[in-house]
Amino acid sequence: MEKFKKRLTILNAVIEALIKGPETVKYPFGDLALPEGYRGKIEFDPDKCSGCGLCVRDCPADALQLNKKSREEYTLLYYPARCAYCGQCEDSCHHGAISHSNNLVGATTHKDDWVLVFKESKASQE
Amino acid sequence: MDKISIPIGPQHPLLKEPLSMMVDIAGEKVLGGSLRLGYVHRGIERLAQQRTYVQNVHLIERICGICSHVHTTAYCYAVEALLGIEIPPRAQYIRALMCELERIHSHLLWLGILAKHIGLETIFMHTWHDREMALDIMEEISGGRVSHAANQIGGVRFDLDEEHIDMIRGILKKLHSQVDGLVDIIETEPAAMARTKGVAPISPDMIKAYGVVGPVARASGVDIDLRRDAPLPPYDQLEVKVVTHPGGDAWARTFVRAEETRVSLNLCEKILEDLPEGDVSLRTPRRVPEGEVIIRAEAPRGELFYYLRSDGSDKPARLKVRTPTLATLSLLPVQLAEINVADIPVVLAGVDLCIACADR
Amino acid sequence: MKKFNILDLCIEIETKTSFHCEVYDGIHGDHTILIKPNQLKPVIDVILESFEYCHLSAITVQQRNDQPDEIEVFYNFWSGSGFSLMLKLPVESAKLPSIISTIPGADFYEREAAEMFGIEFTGRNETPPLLLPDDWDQGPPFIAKKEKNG
Repeated sequence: MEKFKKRLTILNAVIEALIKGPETVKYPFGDLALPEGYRGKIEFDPDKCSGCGLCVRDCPADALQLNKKSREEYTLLYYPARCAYCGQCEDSCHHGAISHSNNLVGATTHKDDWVLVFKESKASQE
Repeated sequence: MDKISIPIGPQHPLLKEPLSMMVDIAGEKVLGGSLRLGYVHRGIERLAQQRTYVQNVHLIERICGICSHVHTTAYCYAVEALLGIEIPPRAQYIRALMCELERIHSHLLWLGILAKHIGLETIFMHTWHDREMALDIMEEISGGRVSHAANQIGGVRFDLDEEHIDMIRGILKKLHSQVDGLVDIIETEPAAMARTKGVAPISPDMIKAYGVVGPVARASGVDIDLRRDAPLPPYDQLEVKVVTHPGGDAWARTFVRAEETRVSLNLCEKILEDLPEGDVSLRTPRRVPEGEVIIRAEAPRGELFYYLRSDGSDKPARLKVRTPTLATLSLLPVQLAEINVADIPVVLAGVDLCIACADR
Repeated sequence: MKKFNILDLCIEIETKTSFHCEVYDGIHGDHTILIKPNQLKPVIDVILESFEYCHLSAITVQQRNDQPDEIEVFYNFWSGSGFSLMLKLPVESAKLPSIISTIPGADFYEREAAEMFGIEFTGRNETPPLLLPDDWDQGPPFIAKKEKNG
């Protein structure tokens, strides 16, 4: 009786595995279904940025750089290859200008010169 | 019989992380061994002196991939002790929930590795598949499977609403039944028992002399568990069942870790039941007043020791980390004497190596 | 394990070794006793006898920037609650007796302290580096380099 029960458990497990199919997703043809809070690609809203530099100060990976000439003239650069996707910039920004989407991060073959200009603000003309 | 020295590592199919061992064998018996560390030394303690307290939370998380949350928990509690603040109770419970989920995923990872080393490949596949359920919970609530970034100085970075709690309870129920099945198999499977009973016994005196901590110590009958002896909040309000076994051999180490997974699952359910209401974080100043603090936490592999000294600026003056694997590795050359060559994988699996932790 | 009391430990040490014990209360979380380097081995023998269970957690070493001429070494123990022994050494000629004959687990910690801070441990055959690479030639990484004048 015990042997019969054990064989039944094995048969159950085999049939279950055949029905369920593989666990892996054939990306990009399958749906990856990442959760909403997943820390993926960084999104930036230039209108909300004030050039205060709090995100630059708190980034642990030196992935953000602010070249500031005056209160209105500044450039904010972002280096995706250095970014650790930790979300500290999102927490530090008081204006909500920088945030994580739940898209997957892009890829590149040139890590060192991969830089995105998040905002380039010029001084207002008289 | 002539003595032959075999190098194992730094890259080797047995090892997940680089570790160099030189094992002396004669025939089928191992005579002894020595080991070399430092292949993944990144100088975390020195780097931490050059970054601010806020940046260090993310640096500390990357000391280890398997036990990343407990490292940041200990660091955040250390900084909060120097600041003289106590975080809200809801944040303490969420930190404990992530710690216990991490313990579950770490022990399931270990169970898969042990089964693979013995030769039971199917258990390895099933264990790592069920481990994905624990990682799914952590991904839903914190945003990352392995790098959770859950802690910040002053609390945690996310809150749990009703939907999250229902989802966690549902997955925990499924995980509990799967883990029960796996633990029953590994505790009664004749092949696993035959390969591990009587292998590399360690006596309690050796445990004390070498300063070994964690499940390896509990498997020799030494009753230490920091969740009960020096509890960080909220473990002082939770009752933790400490699992020990007097055997001291590889079978005892298997039993202790397998039972601890069950205890952690029960603790997770209790934490969700008792979760208090309130905020999840406090605002904290950037500069930390002068002082020194020592914090100990129970990582999945044992006692984690943090020493932090602040000199009044916004960067730490000294951060010292002593991870549990470093203590357990000092016993490895002694364990390697008097065993058979075929038992080397079993002994390595019993130690539950985390070389990234040991090297920092 | 019975409740730990730092004063009980001090009394034990003073009775058995006749060294005077000074309590240092700078560390939040662990009781600390300040001793001299030549008192290290007898005090550790007393500690191992006094407790039913006691293990060495870590050997922590640091150099304070406001006192660059000396190094502080802590031997951190755990026995139901944590306590430490504190020693101060001159940075130029830091020497300590090795305790690996009584506590073999201190081997890795002594090797790390030796390579990171330049401490010499007497009574051991050799103190090979633990973590730094073989071709490291820049001296102990944690000791502040002296500025060259002129």
